[in-house]
Order: sequence, then structure tokens, then C-alpha cells
Amino acid sequence: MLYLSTMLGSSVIDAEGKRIGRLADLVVREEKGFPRVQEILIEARRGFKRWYFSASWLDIWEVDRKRLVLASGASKARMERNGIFLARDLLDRQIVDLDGYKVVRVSDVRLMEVGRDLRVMGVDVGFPAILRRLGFSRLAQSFQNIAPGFLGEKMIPWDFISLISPTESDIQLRIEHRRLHQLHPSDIADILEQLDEEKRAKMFALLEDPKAAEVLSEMVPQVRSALAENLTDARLSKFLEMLPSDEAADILGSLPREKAKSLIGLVKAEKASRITELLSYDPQSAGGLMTTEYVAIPKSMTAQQAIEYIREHVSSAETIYYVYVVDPEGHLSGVLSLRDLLRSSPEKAVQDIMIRDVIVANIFDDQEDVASKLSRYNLIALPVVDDDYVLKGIVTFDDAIDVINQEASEDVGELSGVFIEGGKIKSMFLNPTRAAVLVVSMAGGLIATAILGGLGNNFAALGSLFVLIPALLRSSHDVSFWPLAKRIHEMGEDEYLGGRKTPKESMEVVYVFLASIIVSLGAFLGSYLWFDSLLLSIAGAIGVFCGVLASGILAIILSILLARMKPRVILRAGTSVINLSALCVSILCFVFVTRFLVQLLG
Amino acid sequence: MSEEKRSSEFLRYASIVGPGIITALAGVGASGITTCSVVGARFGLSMVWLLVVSAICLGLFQEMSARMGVVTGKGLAGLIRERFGLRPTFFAMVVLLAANLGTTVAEFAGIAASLEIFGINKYFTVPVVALTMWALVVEGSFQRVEKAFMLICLTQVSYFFSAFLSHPDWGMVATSLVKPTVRMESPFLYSGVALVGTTLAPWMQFFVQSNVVDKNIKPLDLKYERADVFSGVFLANVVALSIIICTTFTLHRAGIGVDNVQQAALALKPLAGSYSSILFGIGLFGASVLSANVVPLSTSYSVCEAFGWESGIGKGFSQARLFFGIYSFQLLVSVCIVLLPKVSLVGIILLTQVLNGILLPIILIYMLLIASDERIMGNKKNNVVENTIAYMASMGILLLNVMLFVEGLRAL
Repeated sequence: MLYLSTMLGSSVIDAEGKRIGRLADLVVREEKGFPRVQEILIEARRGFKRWYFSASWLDIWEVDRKRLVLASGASKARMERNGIFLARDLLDRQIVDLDGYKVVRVSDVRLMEVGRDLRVMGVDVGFPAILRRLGFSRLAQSFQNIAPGFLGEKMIPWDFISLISPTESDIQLRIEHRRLHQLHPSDIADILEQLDEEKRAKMFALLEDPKAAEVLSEMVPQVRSALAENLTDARLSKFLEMLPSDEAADILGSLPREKAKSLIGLVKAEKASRITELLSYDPQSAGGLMTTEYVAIPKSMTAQQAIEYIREHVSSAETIYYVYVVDPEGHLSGVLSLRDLLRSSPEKAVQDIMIRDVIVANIFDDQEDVASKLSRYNLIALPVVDDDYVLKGIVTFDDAIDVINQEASEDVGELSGVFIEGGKIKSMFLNPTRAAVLVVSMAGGLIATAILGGLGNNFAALGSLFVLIPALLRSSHDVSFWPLAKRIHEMGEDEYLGGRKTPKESMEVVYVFLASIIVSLGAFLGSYLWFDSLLLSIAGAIGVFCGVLASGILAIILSILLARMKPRVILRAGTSVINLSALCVSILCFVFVTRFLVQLLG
Repeated sequence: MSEEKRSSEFLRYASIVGPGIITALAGVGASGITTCSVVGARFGLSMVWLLVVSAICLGLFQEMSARMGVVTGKGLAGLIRERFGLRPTFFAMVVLLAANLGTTVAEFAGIAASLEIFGINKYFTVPVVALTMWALVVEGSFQRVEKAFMLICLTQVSYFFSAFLSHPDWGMVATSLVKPTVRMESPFLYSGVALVGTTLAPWMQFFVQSNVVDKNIKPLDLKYERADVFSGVFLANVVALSIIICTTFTLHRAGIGVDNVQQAALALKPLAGSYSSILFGIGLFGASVLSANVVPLSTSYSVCEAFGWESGIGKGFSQARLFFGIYSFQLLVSVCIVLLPKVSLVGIILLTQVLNGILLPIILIYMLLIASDERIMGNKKNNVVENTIAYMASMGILLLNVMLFVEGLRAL
């Protein structure tokens, strides 16, 4: 790989060994693919005078670090010729995306020697390129090592840019810019699939290692096998090591038999045996879809040991959310979720907490059945067993999702909760719902204050019991959210809970009643210790009880009324309505009941 | 010219006006007000002729920047990178960042000082002012932010009134404006240099050009943009003149010397009435708030231009993350420095002056080279007369900056 910035300024020497001048620019012409450097522009200087010479790239005998040797002489340059002058037309130019938004400036141009030709591969826009041009090449390298993602090399391949016109100084991208630096392996695979074979191989050669492996596994089998045939065995076997064994098996499966055989010999024995086993299944079956990187533990382990075991195997397993329990012969006897493990006491044996009737797939099941099972039971992974019920592997959700059609995947998104929209989890912080809750709490507080202000005279009659008001507001606020939380729960998640029943309305009233009693007992104790007056404390406690109960019941009624509306309306409007009215009712009840009692009791 | 045509011309001007006026008035800032009050109190009207000189320089270079922005549609930093490459640009950006940070700190100190004139605690108000402005710039559209800036500019009218309240001798003012006076003594020269120096800073060139680009002013409207720039320069110098007049006919006449603007405002109370003092405080507050926003924006514009990142006041935070990020960072750092107890601002301000002094001549030369390049500017390039004056002016400015630097070192 050569960089334009390091090449510029190197001495150009003619056939007799005489220095002509310094390299001022490289000239390419628009052509399909990666354009070849056609000519070089040489600047000669004496004092303040400058001359320009040009020479064809084909006349260049040798390219050295700081020297270009010509096989012949150079001719006087004609500057008006057309073509792209790399330093003049590319370096430091602004890159804009399809919509005209500014993306970044070109910091360098990458060139590559391909046979006799020097071809432009793309433009450099990363931070290391800036450092290189400032003269800190070493520093550039270390940044590349420290933070390859953020401060690392970034290159835009030539295919993705277009010079708008010779007079316009900006350079336009051919793809959306956000996609560029973070192209997902599957996107890169898509792009590569559309290139011709020669270019595809060159582009692939530019990819960094772990990413290259992922890209390879994302390609369609025909293209992949064509590409893989041209790769060295060493590189391919490295890819196989990097990828999970199911994806490695997929790659091997699309290669010719001979090549696959020689490759499997290069992979570590343990992994190789897994891959060969996976290869023996029909790719369209559960066996072909599954991965062997799962966590399995013996029955005798305790929860504590199991957690330790997971910790040790966390990097090699595809999912750690489920732990499978097997007997010494490998028969699947139960399953545990990580949640179950964390929740149980550490010394408990796993066989006492595991779920015994496991939902499984048979190894010869059709992949579509497997996918629909995963989706139907909302599982993250599904164990695959053979006819003897021996655990062979797991099919994870991400593998299955390729199989499920678009519609099904959207359903899953809907199922998994209200915060998912269009398949993307919306930012939690900026979620309008959350902001609304915040605003409403604020407004509720303010209205409560206003009511308190308006009740000035009644207030005096309360005596010192007003100190209970903050506690009252807090409790009514919480109680009023319960019924609403229940609605939200029901909306998206009742299937997800596996049929666990949410309480009926009548039960909710009971809950609210109990909560009110508890809160009022607390209020009684608190005020009794505080004021040392039994009558006053009883009045306060009854007031709190009435306030909390009233707000809770109001919230239940309102939430029943709201239940018929759309989920979004409940989330955004429901919270505000219920919360506001509950707070108001609670404080009014409290004030009037307590005042009445205080006056009654003298 | 018919009545109708004239009114449509004015409307066109009204729609273009903004960048020039905002830049020039922000250029006065807290440090400009301080210098002017001190100069007025100490030396009376003997220096006001320098304002005419600095107005010519400022007008010349501001017009050049605005013209480059209109013609190329690019900011100054971007043009420097395209014309002179990465290294000079990188150097310029590092110096600009540091110098602008220093200036912003000084402006926030100005906000704090103006509030203390009214006896308001700075620990509450400075963060509130900063947060309000930040929210406006980050959330508001270009038009809204520009309107807000123009409204803040209106506070500068207060200096005009305080000049009247000091009952000046207008004949004397007029003669001083055209009659150069030089006294060959060190404090006089130093103050003179400072007076010219504070009105012309590198960030002003960057800001006016980027703001013109951000406003998307087309070459067809160049003459209105020129009018905008010249009105800005005129207004800024009228403000400076008003401050000098005000302090001359009150403090100078009474023989009260002041070191900073707070003292000036407080000393005005018994001499010109409490209105004068209040007006002074309002003006200082407005000027500082304006600069405290414009200067960090100038850095953001320039750094983004230099590295090719999306920029623009009207853009959303997600579209121009780095632009708003750099702006917010500077605001945050400046507020923190100003609110830290026992931080000496004198050192920071001196360092800022040095950095600006180094950067300004370099930037002016780059500007001249770009503005005379036909490949970039087409038929709107500088003519010989402009270039001659501009080269002389930049040499003069270089000289003044060297003097200022040497004096600053001696003062230390």
C-alpha cells in the first residue's frame, strides 16, 4: 500500500541518474474500477522559478521509498490536459454525501501496485492519515492499535466516490455516508456480491481480519465459494478459527470437497471435530442451523458452580442465557435460564431448580419448524437433540431469524415490548413517554401545591398534621401507577410471560385497600411518635387511608376506561390523566377527612 | 430611483443583514469595552482618531472575508486547507482553538462583572445565562438564533445614551476624530495598540465568512452583504466612540482613573447619575453575552470546516454533532474557569492576546492570497488597490501586535 502524501515530494531521477525535480502530482483518468496512474507531474525549481515536466507511468523503472527512477527522460508538461490530478483535485477536498451534507475531508489517497500498474484504491479520511501528513507516522500507527474503530484508519473505496465536475471542488459520495464507516459485514457482503470477480478479490483484500471473516460468512454460497477458492489456506483456516463453528461449517460446506478436507486439517482438533459433525447434517435442517457452542452442565452442580462455569465459558458460547443440564450420557434433562440461576440460593443443586419439560427440536426437523418454534415460545435459543434425546447443539434466535419471513420478525418485535418500533429499540432517554411522566409528576406536584394554597383556611384546622402530606402524595402517586402498569403489561407482554395471569380488577381494589392500610399504619405510628397525641394521630391515619384509597380506586376506574384506547394513547395520555387526578383526589380527601375528624374530636 | 424600487432594495438588505453586524459588535466584546473605558478615563479623546484607522482596517478585511464566503460558499478554514494543505490549517486551528477559548473565558468574566454591577451573584447567573444561550443555539433554527443575536446587539444602544448623559462637547469630539494625536510615552502607546488590537481578532474573519456561508447568501446579493459588513463596522466603532466619550466627559474630567469596566460603571454613578451606571452595565452584559456565544461558534465553524465535518447553527444536534460538541465544550470549560475562585484571568487574557497576535497576520496573509486567486474567486478577486492597502494594513497590524506583545511581557 502506498500513500499519495508520502510519495509527493520524492525525487524523480532520469535514466542517467540526474535529478529532474520532485514529484508534484499523479494523473489518472476516469475508468471503470480502480483507475491506473497514467502520468506523473514533476516540478523543477531554481530560485523562484518553476518548471513542470511530465512522464508516463510506464516509463518508471523503479519506485523507491523516496525516489522514482525513470527509464527515459521527461517531457515538458502541458498543464491544460484533462484527467484527475490526485493532489490538486482530491487531496484536502471536501467530501459531501448524496444529500449534499458535509462528511469529512480527504486526508490522503491510497494507491496499490498491481502488476506494472499503480492503481488508486480509494481516499483516506481517518485520523491516522491526518497524523501521517503532519509527520507523525509512528503516532498514527499507535492510534490504529489503540482505538481501531474510532481513531483508526478509514478509507472510502474509489467506487464510492465521484468527482462532481472538474470545476467543482467538492467530491460526492455514491452511498449514504452514515453507512460508510460502520458498514455491517452483511452490507459489505452485499456490495461485494455486486462487483466483478477481480474487483471483489481486491476489495476483500482490503478488509481487516475479523471483519473479513464475518463478511465471508454473510455472502451467498456461490459467491463465497468463488472468493474462497482464491484465498490462501492459511487465511481461510484463520477465518474458520475466528467464526462460530456453525458459520465455519457453512463456509466449508460451500467449498469443493478437496479444499474443505485440506482446510479442516489446519483447524484445531476440537473445533475441527465440531465442524465436521455439523457438516454431516442437511443444511436445511435443525442440525444444519444449529451451533455447538452452548453451555451444558451436569445435574450434580450447584447454582454457584454453574455460575462459575458460565463465567469460564462466556467467550466461547454463543448464548449464555440458557444453561442446559445433561446426564453423564449427554441426554438433555433440563434447562435453566441465567435468571433462574442468579435468583436461586447458591448452594442449591441445579436439578432442583431446572425446568424438566424442555421445548426441543429434533436434529432432523425442518429449519422452518425450528424457527417457528423459537418464535412461538419466545425463546432466545432452542436445544437440538437427536432421536435418543442426546443434546447436540442449539439454534439461536439470530440464526433462526434469517429463516423467518419479514412479517414474523416484525411480530416478534411487537411482542417483545412497547419500546420497540420498526425493529429498533428507541432511545430510552428520549422516549416521549418518559419525558411525559416527568412533566406530569411536575405538573401534579404544582397542582397539589395550588390546592394546598387554595385550602389555606382548612389547613389551619389540620393542626400539625400537614406534615403527612408529602408521604401521602408519594404513596398516592405510586398506587395510582399500578393499574396503569398492569395495562401496559397486558398490552405487549402477556404472551411473553407464558400465560402468567395478571390480577383481576376486583383483586386490584383489594391490593389498593391493603396498601392504604399499610400506609395509614405507617402514618399513625409516625405521627404518634412525633406529636405524642393519640387522637391527632388517628385522625391523620384515617385521612391518609382515605386519600390513598380514593386515589387508587380512581386510578383503577380510569385505567379500565382507558383500556379500550390504543397502547400509545394509554402510555402518553393515560399517565398524565391518571396521575394528575389521583394526586388531586388524594389530597382533597385527606384534607377534608382529617379536618372533619379534628373538629369532631375537638 | 423610484420609491418602490428603493423599498424593495431596503427589504433585500434587511433580509441579508446579520452576519456583518453580529461579527463586528461581538468583536467589541467585554475586552473592547474595558479598553475603551480605560482609554477614555485616562487619555480622554486623544485616541479616538485611532478608531477611524481601525474601522478602515476592519472594514477592509471583513469585506474580504464576507466576499470569499459569498463567492466560494466555503468557510475560511476550508479554503485555507484546500489552498495551503493540512499542516498550516492544523496549526491555525490549534492556535485558534486556544485563543478563542481564552477570549470566551474573558467574555464570561465580562458577564460576571456586568452582573456584579447590579449586585447579582455570578454563581447563579453565569450558568443560567450560559445554559439559556446553549439551548438557543443548539435547538434554535438559524433565523431564530440570528434574531436573538440581533436583539442582543440592540443592548449596545445603551452606550449611545450614556454618551448623551455625559453631556459631551460634540465639537471637541469631531475635531479629535480627524486630528491625530500621538504622545511618545509608553502607557499611551500601549493603550493605543490595545485599542486597535481589540477590534480586530482572527476569529472575526473566520466567523463572518462561515456565518455568511451558513446563511447561504448568494453572489447576487453580494452588495447587500457588503452593506451589512460596513454597517456592522460603523456601528461597532460608534459604540467604541460612545464609551470613550462617556468616560471622557465624566471620569476623565473628574480626574478618576479606572483599571476595569466595573470600576468605571460604579464611578459613573455619582458623576452622571445611576441611569448612566445601569446603562453601562446593560451594555457590558449584552456585549459579553454576544461574544461569549459568537466566539465559540467561530471555533466550531472553523474546526468543522478544516476537517470537513457538517456544520451550521440551523442543523440538528444529530446532524452536526461535532459542531455543537465543540461549541458546548468551550462553553462548559469557560464557565468552569470563570466560576473557579482564585483563577487569575490576567494571565489567560495575556496569553490569548499573544496567540491572537501570532495568528492574525498569518491569517490575513492567507486571506489575501486566497482573495487574489482567480481560480478560487473568479472575477470577484481583489484588485490592486485593495491588495496594496490590505498588505500595508496587515504589516501595520503585525507591527502593532509585536509591540503589544513586548509591552505585555514588560507589564508582567
